[in-house]
Amino acid sequence: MSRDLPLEQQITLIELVDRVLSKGVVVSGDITLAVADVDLVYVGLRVLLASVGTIERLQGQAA
Amino acid sequence: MLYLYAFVRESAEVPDATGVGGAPVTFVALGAVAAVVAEVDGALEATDENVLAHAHVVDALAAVNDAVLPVRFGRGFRDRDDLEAAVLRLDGELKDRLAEVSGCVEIGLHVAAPAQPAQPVGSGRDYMEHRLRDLARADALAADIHAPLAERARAATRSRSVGTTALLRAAYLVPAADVHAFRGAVDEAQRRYGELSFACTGPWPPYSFAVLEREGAAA
Repeated sequence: MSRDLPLEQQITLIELVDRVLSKGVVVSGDITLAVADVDLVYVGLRVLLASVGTIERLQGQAA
Repeated sequence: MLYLYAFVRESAEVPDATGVGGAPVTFVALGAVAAVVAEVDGALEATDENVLAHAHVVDALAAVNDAVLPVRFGRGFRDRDDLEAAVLRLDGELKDRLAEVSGCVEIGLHVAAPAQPAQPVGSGRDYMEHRLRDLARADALAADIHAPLAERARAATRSRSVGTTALLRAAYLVPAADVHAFRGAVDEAQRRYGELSFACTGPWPPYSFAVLEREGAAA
């Protein structure tokens, strides 16, 4: 996931990945795939979220 | 293995889309609803590419159907019989959820407050009292922003455990025809609370409103 995207696109990408991975219907009885890798994606996302939080604060101060 | 993307009505249109691993998407009628699936070989990793491919199929479905219930990434069934057995248990609930989201899209909202400079405080007790007052104020402010937006929406969800900086994280289920007016209401809130930063995203397929009752009860 690129860190060079503008803030709005970064937020949109984070929101999209968050929805696809942690929202939506779960039907019991399914085969859940590659759970460890889902965790890895989340680790990457947290880092990205932290950087977005910093940018939001900077914008808040500038406004 | 049958990889599951979404549930739609029996009468739904399935777009000519390919999903994870380039597999073409098909449609399995199951009682009151239909499952949108694709045959996938072996394990599927949660790479950016696969996650985006899943989202792409759900988007393509939502573009041509007014009722789509997205399924969470990474869900598969051994075969059609396994899928059918699991889905028939939820038939009624899936049908009700499809009716609820019909004609609607999801709008996401983040509201953040500027960080407060650290204030020198005396005792630990003073600090805790300050902190509790700040949290109570943040909570009241978040409720003031959220309530009128939730009233305009068919349904709304709000994530808990936000601090004093990340004030509000919410999703709203909005009829597609009202999206423009809803965004107007968000803009109005943004003007009223000029010191806060607002990030409004979407329209999304209704992922946040496709969580079934029993999951919520178990969480």
